[in-house]
Amino acid sequence: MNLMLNESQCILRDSVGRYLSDNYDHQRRRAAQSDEGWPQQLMRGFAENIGILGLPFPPELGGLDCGPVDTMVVMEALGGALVAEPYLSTVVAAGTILKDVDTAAARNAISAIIDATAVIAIAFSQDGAAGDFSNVKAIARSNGDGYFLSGNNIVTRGGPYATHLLVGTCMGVDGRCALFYVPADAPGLTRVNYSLIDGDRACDLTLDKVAVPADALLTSDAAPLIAKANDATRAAICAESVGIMRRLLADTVEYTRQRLQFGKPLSEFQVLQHRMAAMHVEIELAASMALMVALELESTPPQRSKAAAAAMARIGRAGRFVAENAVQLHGAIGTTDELALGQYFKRILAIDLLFGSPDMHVSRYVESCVDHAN
Amino acid sequence: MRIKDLEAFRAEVRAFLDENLTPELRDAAALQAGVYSEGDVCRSWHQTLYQKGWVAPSWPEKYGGPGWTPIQRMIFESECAAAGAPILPGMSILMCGPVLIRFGTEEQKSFFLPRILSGEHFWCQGYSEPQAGSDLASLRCAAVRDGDDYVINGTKIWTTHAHYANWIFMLVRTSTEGRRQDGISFVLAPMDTPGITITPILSMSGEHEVNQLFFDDVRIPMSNRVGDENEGFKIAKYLLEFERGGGDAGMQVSLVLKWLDEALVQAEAQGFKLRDSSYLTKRAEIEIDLLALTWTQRRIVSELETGQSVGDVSASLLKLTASDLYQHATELALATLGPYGAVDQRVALGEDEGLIGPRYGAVFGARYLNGRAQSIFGGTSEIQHTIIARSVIGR
Repeated sequence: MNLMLNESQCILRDSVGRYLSDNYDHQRRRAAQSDEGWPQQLMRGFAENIGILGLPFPPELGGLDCGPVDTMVVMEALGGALVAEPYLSTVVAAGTILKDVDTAAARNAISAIIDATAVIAIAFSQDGAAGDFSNVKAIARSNGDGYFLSGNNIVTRGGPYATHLLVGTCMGVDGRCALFYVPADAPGLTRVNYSLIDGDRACDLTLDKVAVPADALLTSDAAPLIAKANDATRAAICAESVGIMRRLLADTVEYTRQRLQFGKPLSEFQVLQHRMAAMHVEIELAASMALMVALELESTPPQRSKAAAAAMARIGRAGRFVAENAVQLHGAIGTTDELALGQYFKRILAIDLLFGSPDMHVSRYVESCVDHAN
Repeated sequence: MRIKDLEAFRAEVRAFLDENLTPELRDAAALQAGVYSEGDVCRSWHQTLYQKGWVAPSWPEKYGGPGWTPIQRMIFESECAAAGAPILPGMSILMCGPVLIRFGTEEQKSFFLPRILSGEHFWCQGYSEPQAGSDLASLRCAAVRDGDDYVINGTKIWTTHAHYANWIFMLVRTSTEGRRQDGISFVLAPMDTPGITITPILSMSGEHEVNQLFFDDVRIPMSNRVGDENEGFKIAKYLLEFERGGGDAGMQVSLVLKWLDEALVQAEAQGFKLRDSSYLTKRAEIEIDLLALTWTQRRIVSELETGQSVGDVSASLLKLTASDLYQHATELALATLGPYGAVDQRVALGEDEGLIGPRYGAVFGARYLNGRAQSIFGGTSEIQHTIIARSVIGR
């Protein structure tokens, strides 16, 4: 059993890393933040230059048929360049669901993801986050040939620039959760757009009797698929966080080697050396958990969820520790909006708020232990 | 090795443990406060593993190891922990063995290695001195040439299990010229050599694990030196990589949690319940940290050959993380006992009579106190940070 990346994974890591460092720097990202066309531009770049939009999909649909460890490799690189969205929602979350739905509409959606004509936002409850974001009902069949969707979903990440939405609903008499694939320009769908602290865009989404055709229904038993997509998202977030943390530490090491105080570089002070060593240890532990959860994604659902909870709990703690110490070791300049540092810091913070704090994931872990025992 | 083969290996280990790890041995291991088993428990478990060919899991096959990969070794150790097996002292197999394999002469290897395996030789470690702890290179215990011998004078301290050992590997000063590190040699001495005296040091847990040794004109042949004269510091550091990173970092923590579980069952059988509302959360946090440690070790060792060291930075990372976690786990175990944790159980240690409260809980206090040494022995946590920082910061 070798847990090191294999040759093709190393090539993938290097080619994504090189492409991002050549094309997406901090200034460019910041300049583009108000431009809602930027995420599509990013995704077209991924499709045309490095092909990673097809990563998890089967070859007959034009995909690369890669596994969770490959996704981990890509997400870590995207984290390092701070460009994880909308790859995360489109390829990882929506991709996980669409891959398991055997309909022509789902296959078409996958093809559209691969050639970057579809950018998908997630509008279903992400359990483990702070509360339930979503309250959408599919209220009626219209002429036996489609559905009306009504309800709302708050803080829909990537919603403003998405071409499509994956909407989770309660439908039918038994109240089972269903999933619909909805074009973002459907009549009756309104978005109130705003920015998030990490620079990404989001919206509050309202659906008022949005009419969708019958084949927009991906599944009427969506709970297992949503759970699977949420765990895949968590695994990807873990890898992204590791990429962010590595960058935060690298910037901190570089800065403390250059900054002189009391006549010598900050990096020569033992108290700061030990802090950076502690940051390194946290990152290595986090990287191990990111690998662990990637490898567990194909386990049974209870085991998979428990692994994802453990990884999110541990990596969330590491992320805060590394980010806060990166700012502290930079001193006053670390608290400004002038360095990339602040952007990385805020992405770590946003992850915590959007995908669940360490405390929440520890609680989920405890619950899964109790569930296991029963 | 494929996952399927590893699972078959795990089943083989489990079957062996089911058959050979007696209830008496499990019980004795649970009542051991320190990390290393002692006396009959240690001897008996060593012999069982020796007969099976499994006593030196990290050694290459050529020297009597089972020929396992590092991942197999981790599986073996995690199964031993799950079964509650005693932990054998590390000085002989974990520390001295790899050094002799790498730096020993053919004669030294063929004389010492089989005797380590059989248990005939039991080693202790002569590194620290009263004035040389973290600053190991400042050691003074001197070996002076006299004909074909060295004559050793000085003292060593914190020598674990010196009172059981019949051999000691030690660092001695053979030169006072040049850099301090360049005047140190690595030598081996029989503990019954005239001039060696042992003074016990009691730990605050009440145990006698460590000692101070005095060397008064102790004469050993120069053929007992490992490696070249004045090259001992390099060997000493190589040994430390095994001391810090050569074992299963998570094994001791798993055992602490296992015995805590058993103490909770014993408490409930006695009609009371120990867990408070925060227990499950604290316990989960330690399990999650243990998972992170275990996967970090897997990641590090999965690319190594049998017998290869993890390297100094990884060894420091594993040692630092494991000692910290061990302290948290022993703290949780003790806190869970509530008022029973405050009972001084020293009189009852080593005897079945007089234990107060749940049986396995009787050593939680001593184990917590003993565990304070984890972030000090083998190099303090601060030293480990310094080693890691050197690699992270560079230059």
